[in-house]
Amino acid sequence: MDPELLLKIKMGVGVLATVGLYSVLYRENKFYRFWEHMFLGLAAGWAIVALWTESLHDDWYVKIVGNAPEAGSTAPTTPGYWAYVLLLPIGIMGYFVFSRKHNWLSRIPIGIILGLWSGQQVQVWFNRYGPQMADSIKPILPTTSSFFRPGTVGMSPTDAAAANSQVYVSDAITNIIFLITLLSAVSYFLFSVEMKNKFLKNMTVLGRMLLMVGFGAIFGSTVMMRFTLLIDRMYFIFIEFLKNGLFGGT
Amino acid sequence: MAKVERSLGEKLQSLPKPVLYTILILVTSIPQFFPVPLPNKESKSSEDVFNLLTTIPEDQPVLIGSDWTNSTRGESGGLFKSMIRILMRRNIKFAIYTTADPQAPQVAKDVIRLLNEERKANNQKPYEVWTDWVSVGYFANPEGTANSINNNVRAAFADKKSPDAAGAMKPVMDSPVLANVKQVSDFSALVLVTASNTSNVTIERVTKTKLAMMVTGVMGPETQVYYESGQLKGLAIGLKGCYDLETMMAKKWPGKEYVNMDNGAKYYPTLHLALLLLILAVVAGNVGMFMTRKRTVQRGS
Repeated sequence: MDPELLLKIKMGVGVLATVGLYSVLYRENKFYRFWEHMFLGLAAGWAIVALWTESLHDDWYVKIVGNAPEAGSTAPTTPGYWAYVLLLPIGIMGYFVFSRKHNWLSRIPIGIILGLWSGQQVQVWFNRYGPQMADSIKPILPTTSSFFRPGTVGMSPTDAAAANSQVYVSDAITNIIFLITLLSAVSYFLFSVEMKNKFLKNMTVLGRMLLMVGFGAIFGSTVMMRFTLLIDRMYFIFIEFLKNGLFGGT
Repeated sequence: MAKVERSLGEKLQSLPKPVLYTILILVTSIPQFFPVPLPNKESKSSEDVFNLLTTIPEDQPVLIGSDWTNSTRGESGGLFKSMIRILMRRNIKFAIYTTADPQAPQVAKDVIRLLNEERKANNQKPYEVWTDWVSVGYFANPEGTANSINNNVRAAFADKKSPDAAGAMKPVMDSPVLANVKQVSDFSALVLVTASNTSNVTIERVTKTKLAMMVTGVMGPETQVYYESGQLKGLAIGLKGCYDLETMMAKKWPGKEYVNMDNGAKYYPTLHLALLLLILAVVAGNVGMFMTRKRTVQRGS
């Protein structure tokens, strides 16, 4: 078949799927259900094949049977380690969660996973939050009279580092806002102490309001992202498929 | 039974959903036929991503985490394309791995194929798989993979294979891209294009090389804190980040042989109109609410 025609057919199916999935906005219907199940089936099928070809085959099966490198490869020949086969019954034990009589067996793999996960948590927690705690100590006095940080595109790394090392007036203002936000938001979560002091009470109120501002920003970003996804789908239908595909010949 | 006449205020508060959706589809479709360039002030976090990608040494490969699929093509696709275009222009080799979705490696390969067609059309050398870039493939366990990459990247990728220039499957670590990589710090940077929680998993576990991210708009606020604290060397967020990168690319590579403006330039003006519609809808709902309240008070008095 002509590759261009095949591409148009594939894109046409994509357009039908897009319209089908958006048709739920009008009401629940069979057209929507069809494409929903089609999508789920394709995704599940792809995931199963990919899990075997890209993960289990190389990381588990080949390790059991060993590996003889192909001609020209510098990889060493590796013997098979039969002990890897023991991972299979441990994995299968997880499915005993569906058995009333033997569901205790499912706790063994869950326990192993929890143990591995818990062992990482101290380091993981510190890697994630440690630098943020250190960075909470910010300068609130400017080191230059320039108000705004200059753009660094096109600067040499040394010049960019020098420009970034200054505390500009706008940075100092930002840091003051950050400090007030941090302290007031933290004070909002002090539940073990009764807030009788007027200053502390006002701090918690301010913290609550600033948290709402934060949630609003998150909601705004979410809306923008959803709009972008819709815009991309509309671009696919009207520009890629109709304008360039059907009527543009590309 | 007599039909109750609804006031304008009540009507404004309860516009029928099909009408709103139809208006939204028109607003997000029609402007795409009339692209308008918008002025842009690049954000500092996007600038830092751009500076990182344009200053890293050419003889060191970049490790790319590609954790996005077509569901977030509008944002992640544009960000990914901009990054790959920059790396191709600088002749920097790259390896791509995925931990979020089994579909992601194929999506990334499709984009690279399209960009190679674009390069060929502009008389530029296409990027060859195995020689210039490799796909390390999909890993089922993000946490374990991130740990493994940080501690022993050769062991992490040891079992993965890729077609070489002749099409024969060979271990990725034998490729010219990864042959000199002994540890993760031998990559000039790890750039993660993600639409999922793998951003947190990577920040928590990969600490031995420079880290930059390209995330979706919804992930922006939660990821921004890692950029502010210096854990990320750069951060491009959503469509704005994409448009920022494209604007900076157009300034650095103004020649006609370079395609700079893509998803960002195509979608950004339309996004503004969609947001304007949202604002108008909020205003209409609030005006309707105040009109109804005023009417109720007047009736009561």
